[in-house]
Amino acid sequence: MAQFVRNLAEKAPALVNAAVTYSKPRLATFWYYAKVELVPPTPAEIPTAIQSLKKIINSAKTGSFKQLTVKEALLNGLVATKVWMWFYVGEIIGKRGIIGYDV
Amino acid sequence: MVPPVQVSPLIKLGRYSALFLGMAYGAKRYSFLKPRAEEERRLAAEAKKKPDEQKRIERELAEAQEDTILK
Repeated sequence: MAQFVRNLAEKAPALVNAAVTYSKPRLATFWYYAKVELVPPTPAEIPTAIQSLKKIINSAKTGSFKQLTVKEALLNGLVATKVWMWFYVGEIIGKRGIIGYDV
Repeated sequence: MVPPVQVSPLIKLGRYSALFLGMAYGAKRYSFLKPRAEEERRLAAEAKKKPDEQKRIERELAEAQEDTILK
């Protein structure tokens, strides 16, 4: 046991270094995409968003959503599901636990 | 590398509002469930007290009545 702990303490810096070298380029790629795709909407974009929302409500009212192809409808459904999943991520953050409420 | 795609503002707005709504919902529900769980634990502990007392009395009675010389 003591031998194991000593081995670990000797090899730990090398392991940490290896982990950092492995993750640096991947983090860089992630950051490169996240900077454009995951940023919150700037206040200037909100009117555009409200316009798109109005268009969607309009298409629901006039029934023009039936003109969508099935492929488009499926893609829209997938995007909507992805947006809704952020709600559950927020709930996990709010309840401070991954599975279940830790009361 | 593929250039990053420009996400529509509606989707961005939807995502972040869903995130904050989720956080608010999680926090509210947690604060709602916490006192209820404590109350239930308290009731369970109290309901457990009487049978535990009975068991203790029975055990002491049994010990007093058994006749071994190895006491």
